[in-house]
Amino acid sequence: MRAGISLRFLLAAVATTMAATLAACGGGEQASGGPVTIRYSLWESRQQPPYQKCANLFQKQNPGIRIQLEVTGWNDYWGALPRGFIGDTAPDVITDHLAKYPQFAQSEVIMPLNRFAERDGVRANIYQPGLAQLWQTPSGQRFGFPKDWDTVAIISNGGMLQKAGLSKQQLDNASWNPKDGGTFEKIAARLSVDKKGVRGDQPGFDPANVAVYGLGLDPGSLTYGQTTWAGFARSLGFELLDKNPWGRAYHYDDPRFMATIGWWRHMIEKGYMPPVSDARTLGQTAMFQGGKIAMAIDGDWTLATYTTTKGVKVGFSPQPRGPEGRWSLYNGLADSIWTGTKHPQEAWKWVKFLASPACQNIVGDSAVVFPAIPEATQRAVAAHKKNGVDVSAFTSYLKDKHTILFPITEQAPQINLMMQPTLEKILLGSEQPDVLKSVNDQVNNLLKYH
Amino acid sequence: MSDTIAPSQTPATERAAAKSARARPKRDLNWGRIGAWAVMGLLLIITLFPFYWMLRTALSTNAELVKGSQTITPPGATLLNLKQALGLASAQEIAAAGTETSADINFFVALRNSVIVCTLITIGQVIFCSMAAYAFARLKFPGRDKIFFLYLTAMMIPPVFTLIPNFVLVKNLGLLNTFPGIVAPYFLMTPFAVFFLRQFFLGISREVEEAAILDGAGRWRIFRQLIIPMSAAPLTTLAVLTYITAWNEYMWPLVVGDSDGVRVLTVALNAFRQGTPTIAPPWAPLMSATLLAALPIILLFLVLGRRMVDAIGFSGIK
Repeated sequence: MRAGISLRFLLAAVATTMAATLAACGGGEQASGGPVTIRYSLWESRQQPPYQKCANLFQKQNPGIRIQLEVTGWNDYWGALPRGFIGDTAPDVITDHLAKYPQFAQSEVIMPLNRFAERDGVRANIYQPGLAQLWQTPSGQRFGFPKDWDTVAIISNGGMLQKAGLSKQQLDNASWNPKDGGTFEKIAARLSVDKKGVRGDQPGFDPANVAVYGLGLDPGSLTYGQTTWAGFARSLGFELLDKNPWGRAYHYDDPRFMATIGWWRHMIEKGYMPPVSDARTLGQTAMFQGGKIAMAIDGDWTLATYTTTKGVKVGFSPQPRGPEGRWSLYNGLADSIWTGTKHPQEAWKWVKFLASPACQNIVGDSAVVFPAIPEATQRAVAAHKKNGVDVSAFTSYLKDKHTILFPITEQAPQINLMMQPTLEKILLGSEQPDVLKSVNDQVNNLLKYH
Repeated sequence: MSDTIAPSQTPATERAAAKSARARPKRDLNWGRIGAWAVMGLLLIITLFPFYWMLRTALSTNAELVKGSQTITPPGATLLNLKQALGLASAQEIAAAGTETSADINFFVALRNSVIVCTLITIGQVIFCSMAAYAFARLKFPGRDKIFFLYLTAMMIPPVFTLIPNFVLVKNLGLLNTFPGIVAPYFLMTPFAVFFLRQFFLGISREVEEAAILDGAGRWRIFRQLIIPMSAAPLTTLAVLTYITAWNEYMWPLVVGDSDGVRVLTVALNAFRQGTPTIAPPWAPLMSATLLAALPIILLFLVLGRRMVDAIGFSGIK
């Protein structure tokens, strides 16, 4: 009898739970009538407050539309998007990245904006030069209007510079070449300290037991080298693509590139830079905050993370000067509309607003990223200045026109799958830079035969 | 002299010898025991140390971890990570600790979701699989053994293979981001559960059932009033195993249920992954949240572990 009761109890429990679940689900789907909700996704929580401000202003101007911001971490973001595209649950408007959008455009999961832009007379020439062209395919389809831009700089720990007897000015004026590393390598060596307190430029320095590395390493995106080799290799005159955007050939086999990546490996072997494994698990920002590295190469989007380091005077210097000057990769984001959205007109209205001075000025004033419209950029620079942060290192490349446009080709995800491990192996010392010759052929074949 | 000494000496040595002879097996036993305990203790430490290290990381300051501290106690011990995992820490505290994340984990909502999903799966599987297992163990129908063999082969199909077809099916049913969608593939049966229970049911003596049939009981009645009560232990074992498996499930709930209302704990932990491309995950709060997420299962096992061990022993009796 006992069993009978318990079975009946179980069945009842199933029935109630199922009923409750179904009821809960039904509740979630009641959304008809009232304002249209546009879901907008971004990956950085720091950018949420300024964009929320934009959304508030937009909602005031467009009472029929509600903007719902959805923030997920970078890693999760790019995993969730394809699932959303396939499962019909993607956000209406997404923050898009130059390395990702060509694939999305090819799969037709994001919409060309041309017909909207033509109808409303939205022009792409109000942005910092070069940015807008990156969001256009060779056939003229436009998938985004630039919302911001970023460059990278050398971020330094003022206290460590001082202790090493170096000045920030020396770092600002540093030079670099792949043969002996120039004064930049000397600075990195001087800043490196082993566990016995011996500095990297002193005899007896032990590269296997380093307490503080002179320069950090971000091994996350080696393919385009945004926070590693990109600016350095360009300062030798190296160009990654035959033409950009939409190049048809990569030049990873260029001797200048091989020399640059060889220098990187030399820095790790010397103990001036952390090994790839440490750099990956700990992360460059955390190592900087924890006092494990004295300098970092990082983008302006992480600026606030560095400046909050407790008790450290954080300085920003442009990347060292190579034979052809100082260079930085120049990346930018834009907003794209998902083809599956039920409200394309409302989504476009929001995208148009995000690309307009009204929103970009708000973003500029918040001093989080540099907006793509020059006037809004100026406001960001001023806002940073008010916070006591000198960001001229990041803007200097624009003045000199020494920006490298983000390399855009088809097959970018597949190329990344080939290049990232290859470059990692070179940095680990398990492959020689010579391997780049054959891998580059594979990369180019991929472009040729697809 | 020697004569007088010898007799007095002999009993003494004899006594000593007798004593040692009596004591030796005892002492041997002790040494053996000590050795066994030492080995067991060592194994226990080896097994538990990773869990301790998890706890240590969970209670450490993120910045201290980066410095590569190898101390056995948490460096810069703090409860902030636990607070952050539970959503109780203020934004300023988190910013000061350098462990900001892009998304919120919403711990209690995720916990609720995990409990709902696991309970549904467990109840469904225990009920339906016990019925199927009984049918395979006792009922005679054409092709029974062939069908059972098919079931067994299904055990060998890696779940990844069924991921995409299941996803498409659930999507077409309109069940994405709902509890029924997350529960669906596990609710009715898994080959393992059927196989597991069938083996138990085969071991129950037929005489008992025959007696029941003589008394006029039908199959359903035998199953409900005889088989189920006799199999309480294996059913509990299966329930606990199912619950733990469901709790640890990651891929499926990630694919079909990654939205606020239904996100389970394993998926919610994603909030602690890399926030921006160049920033590493905040390990300390991640460990805190992982620890908290594992806690209910550890508790469940503490409560029901003994019964499970009994049940596994029970299977040997037949």
